[in-house]
Amino acid sequence: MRVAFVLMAIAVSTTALLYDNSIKSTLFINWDLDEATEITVTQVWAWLLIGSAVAGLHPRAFAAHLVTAALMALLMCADVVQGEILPQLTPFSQASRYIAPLALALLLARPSSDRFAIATLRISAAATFAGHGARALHHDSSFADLIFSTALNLFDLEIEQGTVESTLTVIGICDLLLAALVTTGRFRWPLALMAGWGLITALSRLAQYELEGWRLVLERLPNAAVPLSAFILTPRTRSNASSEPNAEPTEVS
Amino acid sequence: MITRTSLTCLALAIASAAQNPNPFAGTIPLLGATPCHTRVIWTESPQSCATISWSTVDAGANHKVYYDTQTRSDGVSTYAQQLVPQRNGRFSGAPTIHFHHAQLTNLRPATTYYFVVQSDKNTSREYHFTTAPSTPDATVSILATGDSRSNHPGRRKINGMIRDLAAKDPKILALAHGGDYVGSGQILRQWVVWMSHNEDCTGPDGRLLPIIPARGNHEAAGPLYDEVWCWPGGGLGSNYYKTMLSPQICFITLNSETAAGGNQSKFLRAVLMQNLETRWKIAQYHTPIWPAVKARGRVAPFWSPLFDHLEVNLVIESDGHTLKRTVPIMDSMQNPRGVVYIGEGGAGVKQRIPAVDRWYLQPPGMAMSALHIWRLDFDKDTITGRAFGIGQTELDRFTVKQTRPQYPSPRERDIIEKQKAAAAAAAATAAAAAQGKPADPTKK
Repeated sequence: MRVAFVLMAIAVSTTALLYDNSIKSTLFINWDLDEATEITVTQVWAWLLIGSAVAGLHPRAFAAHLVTAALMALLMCADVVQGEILPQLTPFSQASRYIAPLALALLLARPSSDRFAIATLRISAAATFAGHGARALHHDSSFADLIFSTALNLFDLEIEQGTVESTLTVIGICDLLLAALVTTGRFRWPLALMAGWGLITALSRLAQYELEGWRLVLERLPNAAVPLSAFILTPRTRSNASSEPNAEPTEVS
Repeated sequence: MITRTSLTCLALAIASAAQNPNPFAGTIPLLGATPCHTRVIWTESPQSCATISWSTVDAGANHKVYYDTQTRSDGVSTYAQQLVPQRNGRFSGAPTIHFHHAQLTNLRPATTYYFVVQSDKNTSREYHFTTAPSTPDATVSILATGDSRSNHPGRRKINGMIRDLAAKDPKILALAHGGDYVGSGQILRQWVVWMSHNEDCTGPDGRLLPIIPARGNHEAAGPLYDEVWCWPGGGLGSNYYKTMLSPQICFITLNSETAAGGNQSKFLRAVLMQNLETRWKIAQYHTPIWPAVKARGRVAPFWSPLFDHLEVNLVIESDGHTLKRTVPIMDSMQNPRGVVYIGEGGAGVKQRIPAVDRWYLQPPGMAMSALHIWRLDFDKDTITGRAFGIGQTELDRFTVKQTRPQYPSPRERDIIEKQKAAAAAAAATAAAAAQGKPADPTKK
């Protein structure tokens, strides 16, 4: 998971440094800063993000994970400010990016807090899937285009819009069901499904944008890494709790 | 009469102030059923159709448009025609304000129409606009812009420039707006201010430029865009349509805020196929395929191949808040017979510094940070584009020449051949049926 966050940080920062993102728009348009100041602030944010994510690779970098979480939470808030389509879902859709680093910090801070860390991972995975599921039920146009382009580029299929919208409805319902199951904390297998689906949907950006889509793939790696980490951690924690109460928490990479 | 009206206005103002200290601050005076925000909208068939729209604070009971091909100064009864608006309603959200849309049809091409709008005996000043021509070789000029947004002083300067450019040259027929009119398209107050500022575009003689609207990301999901523009292209979820500025100029408005694939791609392909022989094909939409500031939009894989292989000449993009013109592009490479993309949203929003190191913005392309309006002149052999900055400074000029037709891509060629075969088979069947004979299955 730490590696996933480093890759995500690089991708998100690249977007900010080379193109545009919600933080830039908020600073420049909403706060009316001059462009030089806005660029400087964004650069500081981007490099801090990369730095904290890389520092997070160290097994004891507790503070680094907190910084990563804070910086991604800032981006999430800016996305809410700039978003026009269901911005209220953004905190859910992006939960894996800004809540999950807290789980890493928890695991490092107190080995006995792994239950809380796993719960944090579960909550962020569930929130991410709930946010995406709600968007899918709303027939989000970017999701629709992803299906259109994946079908065309990978399978040479032109799908009807009605079919795509029906597919999105099914996907949305499944996402919400998985989110609900994971939230209960009683099931492990939905996390594996979430990890698989998160990876597939992240990689599908390559089908849509070809090599230009690598940034979008890496930005979404936490959507797979977080449920995968929760999946891996969950049984070991339970077996540790019963037979080895003082066991070290599993390293999550 | 004057005294009663003044007292009514005063009473309304007091009541309004009690309810909300200043609901329409920053706008032109809005009172009762007095018409305001008058505008003309073009979507399809601008030779014979136009929508006249206006707002009133009160819902009112009686609304009408009176129009004629001559100016009238003797009262509404002297206008040759009148029309009750087909759509009246209250804008979604607060403050309370109502819209009225009257869709005029059976207009004559290349004709100036004079009109007034009336709500409950409150009559506006006289306005006029000119319908599009129907002659194939007519020279047509339009203005194009996008991203008015939140910098009000800049926006009003651009509006004044639109007014002045149109006043200087009556050949300018319309204004294409690429979207992002306001900061948040779901806040009615921002639209009220925008529509008030839009009145700056009205010529001193009452001339209005019909607006060809596109949806931007800041209008993405709400109902207000449709309520302001009378549901262009079918409303939320579509909002794409074709405007034939003349029989030889096909202007396509697309919606980058809904799914680019599926129905919208089918629509684009169908329109371009129908217009393979049309001299000029232009598209406008909001989020760029070849941006000067941001990353490429998700519409690129769907629309770019159609633009390349079905002979679109020019594309107008917005969203970037900068001035740009790309090199001619085909199949993601510079190609003198490719598509030129201009933009990118200079109608008022704070301008950004473009990424001038992108390959498609190298000379002969260009990019710079400046509020601007594009003027496009279409004649038989060329499209001439000029970008005007504040003070009508010419910032850029280019021409697109008519080139010999490109062959469609193999996929498009297949579709064309199948359509031709189907059309021929249908014609053979119809002919055989007319003669009372069974169709020959061996004939195509």
